[in-house]
Amino acid sequence: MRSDPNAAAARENGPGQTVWLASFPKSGNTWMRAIVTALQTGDHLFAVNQLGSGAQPFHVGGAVGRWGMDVRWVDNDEIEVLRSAMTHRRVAPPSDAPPMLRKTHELYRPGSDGREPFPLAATRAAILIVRDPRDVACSYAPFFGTNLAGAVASMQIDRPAYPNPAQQSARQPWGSWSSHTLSWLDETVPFPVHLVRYEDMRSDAVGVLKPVFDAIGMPVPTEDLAAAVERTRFDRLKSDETDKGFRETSPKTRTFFRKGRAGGWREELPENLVARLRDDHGPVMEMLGYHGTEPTPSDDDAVSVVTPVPQ
Amino acid sequence: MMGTMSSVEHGSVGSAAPVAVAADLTEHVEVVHEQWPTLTEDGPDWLAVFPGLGSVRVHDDGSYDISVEPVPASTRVSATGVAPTITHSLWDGAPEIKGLQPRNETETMRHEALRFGWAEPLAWRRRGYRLLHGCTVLDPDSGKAVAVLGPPHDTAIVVLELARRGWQLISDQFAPVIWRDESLEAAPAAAPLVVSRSRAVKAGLPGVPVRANTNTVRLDVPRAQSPAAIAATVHVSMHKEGDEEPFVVLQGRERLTASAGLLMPETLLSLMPLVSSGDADRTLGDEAAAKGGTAVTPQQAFAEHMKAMAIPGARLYLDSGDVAGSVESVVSWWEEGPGAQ
Repeated sequence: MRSDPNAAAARENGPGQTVWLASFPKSGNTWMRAIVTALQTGDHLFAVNQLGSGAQPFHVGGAVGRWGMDVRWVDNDEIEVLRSAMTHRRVAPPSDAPPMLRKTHELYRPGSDGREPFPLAATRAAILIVRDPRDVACSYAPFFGTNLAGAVASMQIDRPAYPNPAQQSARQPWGSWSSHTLSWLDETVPFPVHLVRYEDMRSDAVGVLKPVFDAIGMPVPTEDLAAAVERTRFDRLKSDETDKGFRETSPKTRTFFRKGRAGGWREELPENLVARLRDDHGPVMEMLGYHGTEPTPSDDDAVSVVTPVPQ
Repeated sequence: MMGTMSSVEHGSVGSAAPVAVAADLTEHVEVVHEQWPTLTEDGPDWLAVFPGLGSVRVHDDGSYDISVEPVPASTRVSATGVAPTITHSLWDGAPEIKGLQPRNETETMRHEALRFGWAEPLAWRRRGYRLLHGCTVLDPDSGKAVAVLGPPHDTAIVVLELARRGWQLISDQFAPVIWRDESLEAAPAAAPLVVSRSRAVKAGLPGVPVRANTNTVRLDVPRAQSPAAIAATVHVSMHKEGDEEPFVVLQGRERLTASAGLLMPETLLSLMPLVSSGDADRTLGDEAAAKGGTAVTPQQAFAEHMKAMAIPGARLYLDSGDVAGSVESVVSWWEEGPGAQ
């Protein structure tokens, strides 16, 4: 177990342009993308359905644009080759080129030659967004159409992942909540991994993100970042979704932006499931500072409108 | 490795030491690996190579040659070492295939993967057709076509239900279309309808795997043999909890947006290099030459958008638990509106 999870950020940037926005599902990845999109759009129109960085690397439907190829006709092995080739699309950019941020929920793994899922040659760095697994469980359950116990159980499973050429997808292994986190913080990852806690973003997004954005070659004035954070306040994203819908929500629920709170698990998660998460993920929770003694969420975190979701 | 690369070369790319080739060293460097596919469009023939599977050479008239690589020895049951080359036109029916081998991954499978998955989409483009991100289906009663747009697994559900009602598949994704004056014409393509194995099972249909190691299966559905004008578009996505209007006829801004999505992505892509390179001296003609003649002017793109907007459109949130009911709403609208006019 890595003793200092922030040590992974100390490596030299890789030679590529991609910065992976890595997270276990329901950990704040979309909020991060909203902030980045708001930064890029400046004072122009910003809407929740215009988020960038959302093309996940396992989906290789873009092969039709790159090679004129209908991916549904390749086999399980060839689709992994295609994925790596598409990820490598642009490497060795000028050193001052802005990063290309790209979301992923997958485990980090090196892959074999020619089949690297996160190739160093195309990568500059990664930002690993982590969130208290007790809050993740509360968000995960409605999103994936399960109950809280089912969510907690799913977060413990290192489920095998299979390619799906018929839907133009390579493998997308998430791992368990712990194995996902540990994979990105492993000492063998060849590029910097900047660890960001969702809870810290909630309390001071500008202070947390400014040094990370500087490190990945995306320097932004503090006031611009503060404005982007303000434009992507949770209640604004949620209101936008309520008005217009959000195309990235799951087939199981209409509501992607649920509560967005840090520590909301105290009001939602039964004690037995809190204990189960501690049993399953205790060492990694401790490493990330999730000790169970965090303050109860304040009223400032509360969102007045919560769409009930059938369980 | 097969074929000869005219603009890129294969090299060995380890995780730390890429071997890269760039046409223009002032721009980004394109890295290739000996296992990766390549497409070379800057010669008289377009050459597409997928090492380990085979290659496709598409001539300027849209005919093509396919060269199939043998299955790797480690996966062979019986190997002959034959890599047959088959030449046929886009319009000639089934090719003669030599060197079939009695094993799971047959030469036929590999040939068809190259033919339907690569050669035909490229051949349609060489003939000046555009490729829709959707299927086209024919209503035999009216002789008109509907473009069913969306992710392949969603559109296939609609196509199967329409086929059950007597409609005929003109083309699975990516459906070739071309403007004939003000009409967008759907061309019949040879590729079969392919879906996931699980989708075929849900539909109660016997799917045939297209490769030895895949979840993609082909299904036999009634086919249209002639081109037909597209009289309506239906944009399909899966129904989600809380969606209140599963079927909506698109009007105003929604129709403007949807029609932009019909053909504009490809059009915009052809314009994007001008934007991203910031090279004012590089003309659209240069881009067109670099892309085999597919670039358009902004005026052409706008005119095309206006023509696409004239085609009636609807949005369907497909209820997988009641496919017949979902598709019934489409058919009712069609029979009273676009299909009756």
